Amino acid sequence: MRELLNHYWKLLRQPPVHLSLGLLSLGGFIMGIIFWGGFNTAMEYTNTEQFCISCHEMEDNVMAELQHTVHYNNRSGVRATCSDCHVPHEWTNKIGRKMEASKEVWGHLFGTIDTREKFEDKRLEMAQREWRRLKANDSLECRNCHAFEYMDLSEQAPMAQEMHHKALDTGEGTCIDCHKGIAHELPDMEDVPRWPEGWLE
Amino acid sequence: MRHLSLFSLLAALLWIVTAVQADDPARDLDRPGPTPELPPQQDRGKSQLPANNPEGPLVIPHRTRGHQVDLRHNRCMDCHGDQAPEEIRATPLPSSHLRDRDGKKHEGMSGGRQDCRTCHVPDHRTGQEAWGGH
Ligand code: HEC
Ligand code: HEC
Ligand code: HEC
Ligand code: HEC
Ligand code: HEC
Repeated sequence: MRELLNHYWKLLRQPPVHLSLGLLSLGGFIMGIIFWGGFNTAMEYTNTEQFCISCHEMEDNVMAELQHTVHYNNRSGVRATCSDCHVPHEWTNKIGRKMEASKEVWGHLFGTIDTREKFEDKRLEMAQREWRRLKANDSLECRNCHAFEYMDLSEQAPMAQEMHHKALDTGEGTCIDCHKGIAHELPDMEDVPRWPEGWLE
Repeated sequence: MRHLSLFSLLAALLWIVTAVQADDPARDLDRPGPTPELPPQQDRGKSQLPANNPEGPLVIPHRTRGHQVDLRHNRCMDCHGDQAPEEIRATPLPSSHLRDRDGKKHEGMSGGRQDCRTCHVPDHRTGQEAWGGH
């Protein structure tokens, strides 16, 4: 057995005698595609809502809450899924967020938020992480679907019009500054600014 | 004779009751009242809508879909609280809402006022026409 292994090991370390370089590179290329494809398919799968709510922490809390909002059910029938708001589209950012998410898998295994009470205790901390991210990227994920340029402000409620005009004019404030809690229930907001900083005297 | 006067007394009572009731606006609940017209926006701090009943809770002239009101957060206060930005122009909470039923003044909102929608209901007609809500 050992000998057999040794034999193959040697064979593997020898430079190829029978295969042409072309065939080898083609083989490598094809394997590359298969691995890359497999990797991306796996990545795609972790973007599906089915995956996101495969742990009950998400299904019982944030998913249940999302179902009561306009992003799940509305007159036009267009809806947002978890990854639309939580996973950046750009590849490097996406991988970054996924690495972060692997920590969340530990949280799941150790039961960090496995009851409603524990979830509520951690909600502010988790929410703040998302607010920071959206603030830093100027609410990029929201703007993948919504854009001021294409909003007919005159169709909007007067207060929405005025706020959006001012945000556009001053360039201050991004969607998440004013639209927290758009998809889930909010924690105690006592110490969290509800409007862009600098707007309030 | 006694029977007759008792009878006419009852009849008179009945007449008074129906007459009074006919004047009671509460009997016309099914008939839509006039839609309040919204004057151009005025100063923050004064109601901008005419009240149907000056003593009663005002209807909400905008949609409240998705507004969280619970012990963790009260979305109404983001606009009607004293921390709201000038641009919103929402009438601030009246001082009555800072007193409890014994008239005692509190630091924040009194407990009985927390759940705004027990008293204030959205008026979809004004909501639609004046404030573009759904
Ligand atoms: C996948 C696309 C998508 C993404 C991403 C998205 N939205 Fe929406 N949003 C919608 C749709 C669709 C509606 C409902 C339109 C309708 O009324 O039919 C909506 C409605 C809204 C409304 C109106 C609420 C109401 O009650 O009418 C707000 C405010 C809003 N979105 C803010 C946001 C913010 C903030 C983000 C980022 C955190 C975001 N959206 C991300 C698609 C999206
Ligand atoms: C300065 C605060 C502010 C900013 C910044 C802001 N909004 Fe709004 N928005 C409001 C207010 C206030 C309303 C009306 C009240 C409400 O629906 O909660 C509103 C309403 C809306 C509505 C519903 C409009 C209607 O009449 O049905 C949508 C959709 C929306 N915002 C999307 C966005 C998006 C997307 C962004 C970022 C590109 C954004 N808003 C940025 C304050 C803001
Ligand atoms: C329309 C955009 C949107 C969609 C769709 C969405 N989220 Fe969120 N999510 C947010 C925002 C914004 C926050 C930050 C907290 C807040 O404002 O409510 C957040 C916060 C969270 C948090 C932190 C806890 C909390 O409540 O703040 C978790 C966990 C979460 N989302 C999971 C999910 C899952 C799982 C799904 C799919 C079932 C989902 N989200 C769908 C926008 C969205
Ligand atoms: C995004 C900002 C905003 C939010 C959130 C909001 N309101 Fe308003 N509200 C307004 C504006 C603007 C008006 C119209 C101006 C006025 O008369 O106050 C108004 C008017 C009202 C009025 C009529 C006041 C009057 O003087 O005629 C009532 C009552 C009211 N809102 C109750 C509520 C309740 C209850 C909630 C929570 C469920 C709520 N509002 C959430 C902005 C808001
Ligand atoms: C117990 C019933 C009740 C509750 C609960 C209640 N209100 Fe009122 N509200 C009234 C009544 C009655 C009036 C009119 C008389 C007055 O000004 O006190 C009123 C008036 C108002 C006005 C108009 C003030 C003005 O100057 O025209 C606003 C704004 C308002 N309420 C907002 C709210 C908000 C926001 C909440 C939740 C935080 C709330 N109310 C909870 C009964 C209530």
